[in-house]
Amino acid sequence: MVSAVKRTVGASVSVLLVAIGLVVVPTSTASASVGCSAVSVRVNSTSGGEGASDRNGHSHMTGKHYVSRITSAKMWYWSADNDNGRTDKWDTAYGFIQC
Amino acid sequence: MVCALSAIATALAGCGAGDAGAGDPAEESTNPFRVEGPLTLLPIGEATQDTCLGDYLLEEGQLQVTDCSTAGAMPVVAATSFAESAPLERPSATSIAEGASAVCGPLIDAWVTAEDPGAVAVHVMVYPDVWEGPTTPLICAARR
Repeated sequence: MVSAVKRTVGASVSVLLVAIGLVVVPTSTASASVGCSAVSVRVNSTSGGEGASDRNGHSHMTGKHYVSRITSAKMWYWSADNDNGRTDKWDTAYGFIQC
Repeated sequence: MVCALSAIATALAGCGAGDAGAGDPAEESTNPFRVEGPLTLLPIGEATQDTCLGDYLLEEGQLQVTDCSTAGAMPVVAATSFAESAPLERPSATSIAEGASAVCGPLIDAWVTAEDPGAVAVHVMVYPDVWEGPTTPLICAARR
């Protein structure tokens, strides 16, 4: 009985670790930038392009993306903040998704 | 151990109904374009430049409006319709969105520049689910 419980717990841990991997890995990639959720992010902090502002978006290892247009049909249009921390270039369209 | 697993599961998936919301990370938010404040419904055709949206989504086919002093309120820049060149038959969702942007984009940019030169705003475009060709109502709003 105890052994069976240990096996069950062990299996649960494995499943959770896989779940953790599934949750964590995508958020570090740019592919997660076109999504249907957003938080407040500071963009264009460095001089060179647009002025700094707080937008709704995501911050990733590959950079920041933010929502620039949105429609009542749940079309979210994303822009890329082309700011590498040394120079800010003008933002560009990144993609869209229907949420 | 079971408690630890339960805590992890709850943190990952928000399994505990009683915990939902309070401890959720901000990334779980799915609609950052809804104000925290009272919303009332208004027919699309009754919106004016004195109207402020409290959400970019329609509710029961109507605008969700709020007092313009509410934080995050989205002023209506223009209550207009799609371009005369819009098709009579319902185009794709992407085409409708692009058509809305073609009309609203310049209006919103001009409004933002006049209000606060150098400022930026999210372009918010609201239109009914039912396509009526070029005369389909279109609300252009700005989220600063």
